[in-house]
Amino acid sequence: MSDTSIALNNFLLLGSSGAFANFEPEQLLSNHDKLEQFLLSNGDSLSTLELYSLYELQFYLALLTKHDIEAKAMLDRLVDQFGANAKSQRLKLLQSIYLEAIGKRDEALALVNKSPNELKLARRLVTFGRKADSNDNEDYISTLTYYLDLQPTDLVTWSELGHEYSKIGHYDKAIYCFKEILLQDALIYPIFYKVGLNYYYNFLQEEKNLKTERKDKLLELLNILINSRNNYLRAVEIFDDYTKAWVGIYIITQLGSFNDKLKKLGDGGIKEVKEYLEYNEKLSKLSDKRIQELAQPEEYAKILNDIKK
Amino acid sequence: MSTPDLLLDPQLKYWVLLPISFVMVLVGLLRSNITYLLQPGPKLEEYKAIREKQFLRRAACFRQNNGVLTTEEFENRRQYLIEKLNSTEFYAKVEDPNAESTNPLSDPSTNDALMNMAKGNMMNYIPQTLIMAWVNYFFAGFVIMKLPFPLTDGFKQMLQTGIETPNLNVRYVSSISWYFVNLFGLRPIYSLLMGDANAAAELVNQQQQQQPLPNIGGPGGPKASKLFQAEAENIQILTHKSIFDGIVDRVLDQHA
Repeated sequence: MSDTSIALNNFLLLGSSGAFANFEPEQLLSNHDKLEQFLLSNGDSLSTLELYSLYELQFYLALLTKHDIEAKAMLDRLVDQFGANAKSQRLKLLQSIYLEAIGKRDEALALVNKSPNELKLARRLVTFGRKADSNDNEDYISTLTYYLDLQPTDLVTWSELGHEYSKIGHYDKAIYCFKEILLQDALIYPIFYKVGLNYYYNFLQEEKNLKTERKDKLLELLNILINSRNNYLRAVEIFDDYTKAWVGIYIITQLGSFNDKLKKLGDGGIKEVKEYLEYNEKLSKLSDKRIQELAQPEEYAKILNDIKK
Repeated sequence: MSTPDLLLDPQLKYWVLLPISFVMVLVGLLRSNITYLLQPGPKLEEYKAIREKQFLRRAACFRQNNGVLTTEEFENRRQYLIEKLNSTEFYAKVEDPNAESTNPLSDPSTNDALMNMAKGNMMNYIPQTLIMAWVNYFFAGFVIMKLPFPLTDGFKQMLQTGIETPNLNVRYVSSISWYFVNLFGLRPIYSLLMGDANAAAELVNQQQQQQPLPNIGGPGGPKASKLFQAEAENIQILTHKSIFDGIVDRVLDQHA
């Protein structure tokens, strides 16, 4: 494959996967500039489909990098090609995004709010329920759940709902949402990590509210922690070089005061606890080793520092 | 016995051979454009139908990937799914169990499909019949060219349709045969003119063969209630094995 076709494939993949939504600003800008150059030098040799897919990608990149005028130019090209009054949901989606970006929120809303059968637009409509104040997301959550009732296999929305629940501390519900994604694709390791993380948050929340040191309460907490650990472990089982999950495992093994409480229980002869503590030691060594292997030395020091805090 | 050469009027080339090809190319292009215009735009599926399908898919995914759940989660979800699969909540439309099954041909939803099929077929055979009639009417029995290479007698039927001369050299081509040769051999010309190899291939395919019958729904498709029930039964008998069983040992072994 020549350089041009590799670059073309990269851009097409970027556009179809939507991965740019998670890019850092520098990454966005560099991709935007590269694509601009690419379109200038190779635009004539592309097929219609490729060309307009790239225009669409450039529209998003331009908006995200605050090149409003360029975004408008890309949008106009797409509209010229496919017709302003066309029924295309994809085009309406772009138009509404542009309108919202330049502050015409009501017009954007009117554009997508027409037919219940236009499901791609329905998802876009749901995002209008989002508010800048992240602690007040009840309406947003109820719109998301309504949408998911209509589209139960929309993974992006499940993930969004999971994050929203996580934000307001409903970790059990967040876990439910993330598990829904895993049920449909059981190899997405970042989601296993997120499930583990939410279990861990759940543990912290419960531990904070813990008033007694009764045995059953502690065992309940232990169960949450085991779930968290297992999900992290599943993530590194799928992708061995996943530093985040190794750090997660390491943190769990370093819970000083809680582990001391467990030790008392373990000495009392509860087999489950003993086993957990044994595994803990092994995993602590292993995760420490793996983090050292994967992270740069200064990064490693920083991670350890952060954990201690 | 060798037949003496026929003397062909060079004017045949300009007044028969090329016009037939030219007309066929033009009609082919015109037809492809009209077919394109007649094609209905993609229709949006009703959201309820999509919801039904997606829910079914969710249930199927649960059946396949339930290993990612813990036992407790598994039981919760299983109960939820069985309950919903046995209710009519996710049906696209609730059917009256007493209603008689409808005739698929009188069902309005299949009319569209039939109409499109009819349109496609008409666009296919009307122009072809016309051109063939035209060739047959004006140039019946014409011998219009001589191929510059020898051929075996097996090609006689293909190249000399419409002229009753059993002893004529196979290298001579009749007008109606020229029409058939064009019909099957114009693909490269179309792809050159249309600048798009796929569209041309489609055009030629349309000319050469009947399109397969589209699945017009109706009695062939299984009913939602049946699918839902089957899935509910499958989930009912599911055994659960979590991937988290023994995961610590697995990871430790991986790094041993």
